[in-house]
Amino acid sequence: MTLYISVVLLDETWTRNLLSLLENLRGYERIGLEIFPMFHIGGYSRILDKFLPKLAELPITFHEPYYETDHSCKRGSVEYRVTMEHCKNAFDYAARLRAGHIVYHLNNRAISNKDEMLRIALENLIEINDLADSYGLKLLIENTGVSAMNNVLLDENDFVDLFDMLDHDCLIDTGHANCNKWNLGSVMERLQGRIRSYHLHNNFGANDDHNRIFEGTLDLGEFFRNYSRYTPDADIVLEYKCLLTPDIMNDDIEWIKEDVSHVRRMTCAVETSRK
Amino acid sequence: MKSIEMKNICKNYGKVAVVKELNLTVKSGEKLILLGPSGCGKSTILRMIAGLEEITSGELHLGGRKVNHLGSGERNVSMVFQNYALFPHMTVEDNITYGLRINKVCGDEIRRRKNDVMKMLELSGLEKRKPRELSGGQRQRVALARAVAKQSCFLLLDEPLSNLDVQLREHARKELVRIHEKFGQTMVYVTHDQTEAMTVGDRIALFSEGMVQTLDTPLNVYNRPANVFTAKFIGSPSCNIIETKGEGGGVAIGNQVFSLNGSWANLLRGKHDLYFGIRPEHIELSEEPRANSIKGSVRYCENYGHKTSVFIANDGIEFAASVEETRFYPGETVYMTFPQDKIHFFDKKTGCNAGYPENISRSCENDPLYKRRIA
Repeated sequence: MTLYISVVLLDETWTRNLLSLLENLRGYERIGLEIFPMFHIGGYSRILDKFLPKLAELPITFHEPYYETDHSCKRGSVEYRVTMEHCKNAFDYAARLRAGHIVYHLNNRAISNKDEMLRIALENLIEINDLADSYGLKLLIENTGVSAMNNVLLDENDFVDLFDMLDHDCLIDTGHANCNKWNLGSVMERLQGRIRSYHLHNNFGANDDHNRIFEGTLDLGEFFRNYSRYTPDADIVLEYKCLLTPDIMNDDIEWIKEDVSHVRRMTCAVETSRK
Repeated sequence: MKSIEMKNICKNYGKVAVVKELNLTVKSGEKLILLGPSGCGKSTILRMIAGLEEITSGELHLGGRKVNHLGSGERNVSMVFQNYALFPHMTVEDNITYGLRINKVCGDEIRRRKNDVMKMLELSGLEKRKPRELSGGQRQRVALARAVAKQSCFLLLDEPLSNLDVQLREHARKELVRIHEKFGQTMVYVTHDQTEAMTVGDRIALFSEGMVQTLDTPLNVYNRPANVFTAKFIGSPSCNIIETKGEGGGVAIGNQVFSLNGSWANLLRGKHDLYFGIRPEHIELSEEPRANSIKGSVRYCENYGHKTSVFIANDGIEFAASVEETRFYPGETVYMTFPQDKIHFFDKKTGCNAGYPENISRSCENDPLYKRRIA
């Protein structure tokens, strides 16, 4: 199991701050970064290039680009072309940083014609899967969308069933599961061998707030009991709102340290109980 | 080489052991049935082979290669699920070919495989239909077609026929055997249905509480049950198992004594606490006493058309007998004869089969059907 924190790297100062945060967390072995790329922002590649050697020293995973990206767009459309360009960029850096996998969303936009969107998303998956293969990367399909935003393409059962039909592995976003009222324990049980990673964050059951792990209605104790039971090797990525914006405060860093400590304690207990 | 080897495999959920120290080899090209009651761990084993569940400890080898660390997609397995797992928005042909396209099989080869499996599974003409426009049997065939088209070395089936009605199930069983004869994949098939187990499998692994109770050919499992659990699980009505004690040259059946021939008496000498077993269809019933018969009273009968189950009370013990005739009625006195070459004994303490006299050999190791099946 590797613990990651999800970050955007918006500018040099911000990136330096983040890297010093990791320095602050030294003592916790194998903490890495999940990079949330922002290729739609001009000059973003330059930031990655500049910090590439430093980043290469860390465990790295990559999220696929989110902004200006949607895999349920028809092939041949402008949206599809832009999506693929952003993905190529992300895959290129992910491969250079030996990320191993890419977190993948079947869709981002609001649902219009669900069957048609799913048909297109699965058709597009063939091409994006080929592209990922060519970079030596595996796609981890995430449970995406929030009911309140009307962009949930697959409900709980559809999402679980998808993996009976595909050979792919998945990433479970605990916040999305919580605000879509999924039975997270059941999903973890049914998909256990396919779950490679979690986006761990909390909310109050309606909006995708990306809160700290204890700020919300997701029962963290129950999550770790199920984690221990079904997926004791899966990675955990803290995907917090404050880490996805450049206005991170010293206080934030302090509580991230607290949360990292908590997750460490829980996962160490899992590892100890397995020995 | 397409064997599956499980070495000391354990699966725990917390402190609960679901599969315990499993050592099992599925031979290349064999059809192995994992049979057992709900919750015995058989589906968990299948899902561990598929990579859908992690193995707590032990080693899994597919085709001689250790695969514990490999993801499901890297194991060269195809799987058929109880719920068929078809994409609802895709047509039949898209469901069959999608996996091939994502695995970069070339277009001509995809077309060839699709046409082959659709013809073989009698799906021709249904290419453009969506799953909701198909019957249960057709959906099951599409799921099977998709698995077969993948041409994996290992075909895993998790209760694939349980959603079908009786007639369709019988037809589908034959299709499965036919498909296996054509492609020769190593097949692991989970079921709780003993008829499927007996008719489809080359061998049956019968499970209870995460442990193998028996691993043998269907005929051996039936005719020479390794223990009481196996004897009772296979067969309907289930095998009569009666607690008994050795009494000189015989055994006590209630207040009566059933005499054993010399071979049995020699074999059981010194063994006192036993279970006596006989399958319902091996009990011979008569209205008049015969030599060495046991008296009883008919309690009730169940008529199945082709046979009748007669339930007989004897000194507080109930026997089930299966007969073709329907000439026995509740309240009547009947006499049960137990042919010496059809009876079984089990150790009362361990539940294990006490063995058979040498002159009663019902082993199927030389069964030509079994030899032909895995040749």
